[in-house]
Amino acid sequence: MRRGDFPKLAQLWQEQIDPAEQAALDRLAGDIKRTARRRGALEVLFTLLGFAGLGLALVVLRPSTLPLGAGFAALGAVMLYVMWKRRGIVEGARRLATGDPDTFFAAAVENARAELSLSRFGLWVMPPGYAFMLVLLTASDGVIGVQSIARFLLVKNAMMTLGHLVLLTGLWLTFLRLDLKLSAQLRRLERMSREWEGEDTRDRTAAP
Amino acid sequence: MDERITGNASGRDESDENGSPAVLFERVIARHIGMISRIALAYEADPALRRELVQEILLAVWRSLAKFRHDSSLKTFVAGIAYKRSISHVARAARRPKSAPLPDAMASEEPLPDEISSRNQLKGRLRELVRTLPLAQKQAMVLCLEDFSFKEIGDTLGISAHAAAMRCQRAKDALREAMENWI
Repeated sequence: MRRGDFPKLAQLWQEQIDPAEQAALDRLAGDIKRTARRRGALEVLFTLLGFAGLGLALVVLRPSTLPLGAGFAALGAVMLYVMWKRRGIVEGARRLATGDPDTFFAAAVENARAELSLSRFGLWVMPPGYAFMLVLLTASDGVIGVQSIARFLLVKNAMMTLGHLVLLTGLWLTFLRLDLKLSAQLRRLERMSREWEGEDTRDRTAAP
Repeated sequence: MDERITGNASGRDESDENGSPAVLFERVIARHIGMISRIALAYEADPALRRELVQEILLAVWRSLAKFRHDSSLKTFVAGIAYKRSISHVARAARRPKSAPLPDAMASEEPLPDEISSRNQLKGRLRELVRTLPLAQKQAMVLCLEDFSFKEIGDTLGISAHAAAMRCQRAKDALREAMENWI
């Protein structure tokens, strides 16, 4: 490539999209408004389902005692906290697209750290939270006392408890996999950010 | 170089000035969908994943147009979103852009069957070489290849026009070296 060849390369670059791909892109673009509406509706639906689940649990289970009520309230509070944090992260990720370009990497790394932090919180809270929920559900059925609840869960309903254990393990491993992905994502972002800063330094040292 | 740095003083296309988000989006599709796709091409080799990336970029553009303040051109605004989404995509993906060695056929001195296939091979090679550039140089190079002025590149990447000029020069040098090694 000679020095004067760059315009030819630019022309070559701009010919990259063939007519078939162009047609596919046009179709994709035509569907964007529908896709955006569908995703928006799904987000609202999931939020509503979360709140409806909490409400339903309170109505159906009707916590009969103050400790039971407090237990369900604590579980509900944790769920609301996670939903609120999750929403902040999603909004943060959206804002990245239109934020200042010079602060993009810092904001992207910060958002990835927040996501990883929430994921770690979920990993730690999920096993005791699930066990706590099982105990609350058992107590709601009128089984009172630590020994009675333990007998109910581990002897009388051992298969059901085993099912819950399998479900919890599956969920926890899924969350662990997500956590590992997020860690890798954060490392990649940090590496790209360093790369970017290195290039920035080269720009500044070479500036007239 | 100075002319490219100065370019259109505001970097704006007057016809970008007006329009509701819906109208602006139609304009983006009509004028810039190719650029969006080529930016995605520089970051993602897999066609299916590239289409996903283009969709993510278009969704981000669709959501962001209400915030378009007209203090830059629509092209610069869209390119900025496209490159940021592409970086997020690369960070999420489990792999780096491919930097595979050249297939033997491409390094061969034998004449190619015809001009079209030769041009297609050149395009493919250019794509590969752009993908292997370091991130910051790749961003500048893609915008250079899209005929952005240095001011527009600076606006898109959040750097000065002079920094953009130097970054482009380094990217061009790297590309030239890679092409010479290939030929």
